[in-house]
Amino acid sequence: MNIGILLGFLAACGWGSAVVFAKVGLRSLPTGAGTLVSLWAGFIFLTITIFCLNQQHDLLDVGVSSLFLMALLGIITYPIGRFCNYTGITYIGVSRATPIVASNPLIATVWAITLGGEKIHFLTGIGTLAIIAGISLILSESLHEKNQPKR
Amino acid sequence: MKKINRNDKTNLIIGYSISLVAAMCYGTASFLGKILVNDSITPIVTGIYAIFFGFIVLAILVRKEIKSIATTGFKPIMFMSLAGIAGSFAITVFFWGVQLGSLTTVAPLIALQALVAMTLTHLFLQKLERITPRIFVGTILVAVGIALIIITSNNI
Repeated sequence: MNIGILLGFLAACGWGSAVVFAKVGLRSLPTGAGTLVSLWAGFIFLTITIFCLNQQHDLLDVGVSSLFLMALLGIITYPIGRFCNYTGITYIGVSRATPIVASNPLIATVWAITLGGEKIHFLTGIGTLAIIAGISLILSESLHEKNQPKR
Repeated sequence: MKKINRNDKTNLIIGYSISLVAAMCYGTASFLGKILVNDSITPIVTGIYAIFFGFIVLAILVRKEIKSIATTGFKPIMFMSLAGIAGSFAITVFFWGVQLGSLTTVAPLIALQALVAMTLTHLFLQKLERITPRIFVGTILVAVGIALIIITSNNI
């Protein structure tokens, strides 16, 4: 098996399992505090990883404009993105929230087309329709489903 | 068919809206991330700085909740730590995969995360959530859609 495919699959398992762990942890911890703990643990993990890979000198090789972009990226991704992701999980559960959150490449594509000047591909259109159909199915389930997720 | 009560309906609307906001944030972050990678900054460095700044801002915003971390038991902290580690592990192996393989083969696999989450929910959280056929088919459609969008954005 291609090592790239194996690592890509492991990445999907990492992201997929993270929300399941969060669902369990957030049962007795407020979302803000829970998100903070997850960020702290993730920060420690990445710091250990960069030292293990002997790439720690790259941390100092960063310009001011890049630092500003990373701060913006961090604020959008974690205090807003991850917090909203975990809040969504506590309200509607992993199975409903994850497909909606996972549809984020669609948003990135919209930005790339509107701000980045990229052209829309035929398959992008098909993919967009598939995502909309999938989310519509999940949303419609909530109106029919007898067993609402327990909070 | 059992009607859902107003409280459940409110929870659903809040949950779906907030999840959509999360998707918008992650999508915007991916777009910003591409700009940073083009600036030849490694993903792990970006991850460390992004988490650092995010942690500081979130700690200020939820400072009143910080006390609850000390009073809660070991188990929730352990699970939230595992969530954070799993997320960071995913970022690391994803970019490692891109380095060793190619973006065009590795990136579409991100689409599997929703299916992995659904499978693990079915295996371990049966008491909390039930996976229905609609949710199953909907998740597969979303995964296929994400894979198609990623494939075309990588110009396969």
